[in-house]
Amino acid sequence: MLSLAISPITFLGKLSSFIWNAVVGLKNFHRRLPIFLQQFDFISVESLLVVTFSAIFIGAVLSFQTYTALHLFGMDSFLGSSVGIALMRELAPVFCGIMVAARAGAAIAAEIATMRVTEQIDAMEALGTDPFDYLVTPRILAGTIGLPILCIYFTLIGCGSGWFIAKVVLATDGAVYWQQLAWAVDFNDVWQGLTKACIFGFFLSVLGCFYGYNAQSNAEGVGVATNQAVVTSVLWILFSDYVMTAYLPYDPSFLIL
Amino acid sequence: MTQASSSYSDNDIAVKVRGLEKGFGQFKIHHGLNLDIPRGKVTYIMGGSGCGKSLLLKQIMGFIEPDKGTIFINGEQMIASDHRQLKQVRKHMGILFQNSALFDSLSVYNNVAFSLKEQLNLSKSETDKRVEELLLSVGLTFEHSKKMPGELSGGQRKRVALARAIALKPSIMMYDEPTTGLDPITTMMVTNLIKNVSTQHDLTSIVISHDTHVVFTVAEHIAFMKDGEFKYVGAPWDVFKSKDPDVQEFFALEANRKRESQENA
Repeated sequence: MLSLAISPITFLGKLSSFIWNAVVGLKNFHRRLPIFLQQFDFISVESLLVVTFSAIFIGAVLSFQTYTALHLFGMDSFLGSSVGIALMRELAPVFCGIMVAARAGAAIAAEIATMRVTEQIDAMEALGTDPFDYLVTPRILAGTIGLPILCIYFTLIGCGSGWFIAKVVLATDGAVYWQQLAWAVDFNDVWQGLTKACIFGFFLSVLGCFYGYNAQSNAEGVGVATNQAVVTSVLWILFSDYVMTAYLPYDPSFLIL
Repeated sequence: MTQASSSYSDNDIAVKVRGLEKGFGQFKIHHGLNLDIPRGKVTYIMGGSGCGKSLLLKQIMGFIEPDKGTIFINGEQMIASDHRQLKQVRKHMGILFQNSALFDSLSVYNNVAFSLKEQLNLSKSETDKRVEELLLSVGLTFEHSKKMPGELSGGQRKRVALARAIALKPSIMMYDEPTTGLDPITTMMVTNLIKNVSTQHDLTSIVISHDTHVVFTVAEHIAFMKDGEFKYVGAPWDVFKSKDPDVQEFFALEANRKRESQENA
């Protein structure tokens, strides 16, 4: 019973120490720029296809379902604003987070776990290179910076897809859709969506690296690490989404004050 | 506490292990090991599977912290928890891992040049020249540098890993079961390579192995471990004089071969 209570504390302690080592790795970041760009390409650019398809279908379904509800009250003209706000504040960061965790987070965990199992990380240390600043820090930065960019892209594609359904399938006024969207979505929505995306990107890359780095040195280790990285990332994304939706200040002006 | 070889003066000892204890939970693996590794010689640390040979190597490299005891590298005490000191001490050491541990995502060139690029500020032409020299010293050519690790045979992977390990000119080179899983011809090739590289680069070599048949061609010093203790430390051929039943049992096959060859002669 006691071990059950202690294990989350031990996990958080290990994770904090891991994150701290990654932060210390920033001092050599200027030397790791090529690795950062390579990882940025892998996490963000190579996720574009999966993000595009997700955004098209999420935007289309959202447009359909929202129209059904709004139409009951004769508020069809609010379709653009509903789709825009829902995508920007909620759906884009969460879906991007989950899609990238499943694609890139899993790959990060598998790659680093394989390096652990085949003693490549030990070899790196033996050659005098800190695995944190070489492997971990560039991946965490790439995830944290890449996800907000994917989130904006997701929102734009989703809004476009929603407009297509609204105009072509539901035969509503397309101009009103964009007008309402531009009126309703303000900087605060963008701020909340991007903050969430940053934090989700941080979580999925940190957890991918953490589980990979601490993988057990056996054949099972890679599979277990990948599984744990994806499951934990998705749960953390959903949990932190709730916390941020409930408690993140809607107006970012508190940062200036 | 097990006995150490102590016939060497401090200046002649490259690695000194004193009172080393290590366990995982209730399971004790090392029970106070003492060992002196003579400078400039090839030392084989032998023993059956699971006796703690590789664990000792990982403690010498500072990958694992001992529970008790001290390790001295060239007279300097190793403190596994002090990363800065560890980095300094490791500059004197190189290691060849059992499965070569080449970086899969990097070409042979980038594997060999890895520590040169990371630690030294060499120009591209200087790095190229150094990589070529290193590849030649392990019996490969610069043509191999374009290949990826996945395109190499087991023996070639060992050679590349060795070239990478000696790139920073260490004074102590460690080999973790370098011949395990290799065919007899490649085993002989790797064994000769250890000998040649040690001579060429004036290295202190520490080889972890349980292959008794290759030991006597290369080793200048051996240490036999069983149940977390050294049962024999000394010259290779004197091992047959040991009265310890564990030592006799482990080297029985080799003793028979030796007897047969003497009878035939």
